[in-house]
Amino acid sequence: MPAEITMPQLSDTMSEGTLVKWHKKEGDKIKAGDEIADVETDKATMPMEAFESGTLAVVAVPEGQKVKVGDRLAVIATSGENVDQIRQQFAGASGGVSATGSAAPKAKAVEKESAAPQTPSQPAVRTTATATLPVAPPADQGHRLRISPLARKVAADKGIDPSQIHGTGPNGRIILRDVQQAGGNGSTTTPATTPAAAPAIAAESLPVRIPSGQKQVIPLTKIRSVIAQRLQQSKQTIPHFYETIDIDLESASQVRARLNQQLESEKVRLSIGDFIAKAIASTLLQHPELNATFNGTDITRHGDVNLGMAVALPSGLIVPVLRNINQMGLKEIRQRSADLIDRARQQKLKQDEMTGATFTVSNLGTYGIREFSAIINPPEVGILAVAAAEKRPVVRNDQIVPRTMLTVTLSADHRVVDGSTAAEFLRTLKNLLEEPAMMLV
Amino acid sequence: MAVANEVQKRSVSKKSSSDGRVERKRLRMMMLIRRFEERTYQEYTKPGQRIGGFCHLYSGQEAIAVGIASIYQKGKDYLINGYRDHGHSLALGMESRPAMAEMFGRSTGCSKGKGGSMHFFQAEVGNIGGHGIVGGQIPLGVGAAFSCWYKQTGGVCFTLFGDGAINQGTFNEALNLASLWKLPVIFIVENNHMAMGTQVARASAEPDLSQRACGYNMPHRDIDGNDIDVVIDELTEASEHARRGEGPSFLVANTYRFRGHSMSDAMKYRTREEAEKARLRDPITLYEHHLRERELIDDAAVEEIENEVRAIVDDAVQFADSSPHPELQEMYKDVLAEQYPLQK
Amino acid sequence: MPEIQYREALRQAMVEEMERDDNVFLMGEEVGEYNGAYKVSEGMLAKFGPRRVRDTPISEAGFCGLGVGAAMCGLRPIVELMSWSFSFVAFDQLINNAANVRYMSGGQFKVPIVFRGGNGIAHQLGATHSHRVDALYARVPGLTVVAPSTPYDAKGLLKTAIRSDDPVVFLESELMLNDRGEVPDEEYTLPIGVADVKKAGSDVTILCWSKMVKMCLNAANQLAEEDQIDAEVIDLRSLRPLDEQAILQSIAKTNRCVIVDEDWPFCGMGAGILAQISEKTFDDLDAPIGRVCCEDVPVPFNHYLELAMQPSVEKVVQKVRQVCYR
Repeated sequence: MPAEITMPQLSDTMSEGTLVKWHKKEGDKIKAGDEIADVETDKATMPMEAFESGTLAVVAVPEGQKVKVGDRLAVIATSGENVDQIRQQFAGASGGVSATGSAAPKAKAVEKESAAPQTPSQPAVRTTATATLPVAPPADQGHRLRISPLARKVAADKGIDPSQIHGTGPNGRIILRDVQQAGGNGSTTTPATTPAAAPAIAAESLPVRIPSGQKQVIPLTKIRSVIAQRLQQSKQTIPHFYETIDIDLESASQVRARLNQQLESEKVRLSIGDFIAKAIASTLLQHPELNATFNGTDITRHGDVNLGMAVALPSGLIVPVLRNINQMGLKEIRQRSADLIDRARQQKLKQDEMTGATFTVSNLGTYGIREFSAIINPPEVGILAVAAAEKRPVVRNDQIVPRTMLTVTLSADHRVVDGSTAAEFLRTLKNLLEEPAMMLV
Repeated sequence: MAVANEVQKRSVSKKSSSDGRVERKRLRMMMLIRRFEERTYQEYTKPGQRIGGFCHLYSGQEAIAVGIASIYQKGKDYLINGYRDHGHSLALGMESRPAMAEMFGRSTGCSKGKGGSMHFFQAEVGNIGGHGIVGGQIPLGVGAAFSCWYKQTGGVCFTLFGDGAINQGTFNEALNLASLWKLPVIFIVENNHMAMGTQVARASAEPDLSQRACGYNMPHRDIDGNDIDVVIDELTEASEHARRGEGPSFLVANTYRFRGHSMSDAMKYRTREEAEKARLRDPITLYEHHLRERELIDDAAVEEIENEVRAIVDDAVQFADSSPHPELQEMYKDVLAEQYPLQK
Repeated sequence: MPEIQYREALRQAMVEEMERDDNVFLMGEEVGEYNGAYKVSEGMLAKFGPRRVRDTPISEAGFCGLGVGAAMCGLRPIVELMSWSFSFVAFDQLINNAANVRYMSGGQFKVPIVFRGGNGIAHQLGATHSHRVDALYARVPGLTVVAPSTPYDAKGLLKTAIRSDDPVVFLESELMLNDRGEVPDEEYTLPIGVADVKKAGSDVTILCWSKMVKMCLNAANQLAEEDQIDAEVIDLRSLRPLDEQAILQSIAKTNRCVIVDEDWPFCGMGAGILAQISEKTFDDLDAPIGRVCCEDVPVPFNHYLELAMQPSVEKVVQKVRQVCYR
């Protein structure tokens, strides 16, 4: 049976995708696992793999076209099937998208070519021998950012997002001169490094001075338009309510200092954020009402905590997910979250690293924010806004003493969660952070 | 040199020295080598394997090494050997301690634990090595002899190899060069009749190995390598020939190794009868017998030597075992003699 | 400064060192009575006599091994190989004996010996006589490998090689022996392990050695004229030890590199250098390190095929343009 390739759903929220680029053309031989096209989802551009081997018989959509999830993109003739027949069979009925006009006449010639290597008349002597096995020409052109190491480094130094640069090297490789041109020949330099835990502030997100008397119109990028659409939907359809609590971090800070001393040899440095993540995981296990997703009819409670961590990128917000964080110790949380955030910044996250969160945390602590509230990321039912830990005068035993304090705000979906449930959640969280040893219990 | 001078013609050498001291020393060295090798076998086969790698024992061939040492002139002569090199190294004066420690791979070994059983060296006595590749060392021996000739030191190079090496190209190239240039080399084939597991007759088209030198225009002899007196007499003649500038000689010293080629050798190629017969010609037993006949030793003397060599070897094992492994840094040392960039 | 041939430079180095140290002697096929197969040792037998200029039989394993043994026992042999292609029958002597003896003896012995001779492709000698042995020896710890490109370097480096207490593989080329170059009258030596920047440049680093240096300088001239590409040409001179610092410094400046190598592409000398430096220069590179090598075939006899299988000025120019994105 010919194998139809349809637009995959590459993320929870994806309803349609854009076929950005075909790596194969009609008549090409395909192996299961080959990357045959690049598809842009609302989050990222992802390679699409073939699940069947055979010959690419029909390409149903041209590059650049938007396609609904599930609609046909291409048809593969599996072994023994007649490519021409399949092409005719699917010709008129290609899901409303007509096949490219040049496909049919091209097919015959291509088929001939592909049959040639099997005939015995193939010359036995290659014109150039190589000591390595002969390899097929690379088939995966363009599915990832091609950039020379130097260009990558310079782009990072200048704070330029390489994905916004047009590459002029071979296969569209971004090379030094492209970065220099994008960055005005190196005249716009911005601070090169950002603290590992802090959201990246790249040049693009800094206020750009618009000359007086002028306007600048910026069309939404794909990711920006998804953010716009989804947050609006969340805020308009979910009845948010907010609860705020102050947490004394004195004890957690001391534990953290002690642990970091112990971990110094391993070059691991725990952050307060790691303690908060750990405490959230423990708290959620005790309050499954908030470790839940809601589709409008059913509430699903989850046995594992997959914690989404909001990360700001120059191009917009992205939420990598730390799966099964409830099974991790602090060290693992530190290492895995650092890795995730790192790769999020390099746009190297895999699809399943951006989906499936059961609860999200948004941390603006490094910006010195005292208190804020966040918008729920559906289908989740809660999000915790973590502000900056700071020394504040507080009353202890009728004395005013300086303590390291933190204010967190829980946003919850009132369709699923009630005020008291949220309050109990926050109380548990507060208790765990004020007495970190309780996390062991 | 005293050691060289006391060796005379074969007809007289079986006569005793005035007090038998020299003979007892030779017997003692043969017994030490035997004890060393048998203990090595024990240590090698013990669980935990503190001696690793290839290990080739010399038991049964001691008369040749000790015979060479008897006429060896330290300070100008050289000796080079294949990988069955423990016996010669001890005979030329290497202490049991660094020898055993080398097999244990320890930092106190003669090569700091970087050579192993097959690569014993002792520069100060001209022991230019045990060499691992069959026949690879033969041209080196000719080179050592060339240095003696070039500097006119009167030294010779005893170049040893087994019957297995004869069929290598280097054997032929080395014999030709040595004879062509009349270099002071004594080529000694320790013919234990077995190239690893292949009998001489199955490997050499000419079963009389001494004939293999015929094409190289040099004296060649087939001798009893188990009789140390014979070995000394023949070597004396060959070395005098070489020291006189008359060129190399080729001696095939027939012997028998009691142990396998290496430790993993089950010796299926031998019959029990053959091995038992060979034991009757054990070079140590033979020499002991001669010395008893000549009343140079008695039971008490033999027992005393036995006790002494046992103590020496026990001590060597203990020393080796308690010695440290080389420091990691040692790995990077002795690769080159110079510091680079090099300008001289 | 007088201009002399490469072969004369080699001879001057050997003569001077033999005059300086009686332990130095020359040995090889046809080095004496025939005055050298390529006339490198012309007149040396007459000058030093047969004790120190030794004609050998055609017996590479024998005399290479003899040299190693003599070096272990205090002499400083210069062993001439008529062609490095013939060293394969003596491979064990170089790889196992010359290179390993010092290490295996725990530093008890040094092996001060120079093996020298013509390396690489000459004129229509066929596949057996055209081998490039650079990588075969440069990969071996314990050996030093030197490949000078000019008479000046040849003399200065050979003198250092002879004085070195380590075994040196000294790679010459039959095709360079007639090359002329300035060599001072005064005595001098040159350091082993130091590369020479033959032409400074800012756009691309061309790494080369031996016969390839002249070709690369020609290519650099053409690139400057036709493409305004300013190439830096580095003559490595010594392949082991490799002057990594010079290479890395240059690439940090130019961000692009082409290695020009007479060897085969797979596991050859260029491949080895590439592996050695690619990791360390990764962030400096704006293009993959390019290589120009021989085609992956045995060396053909036919003159035109033989030329076609080798690097050429055109191939170097093409490759440089490619890494410069021109």
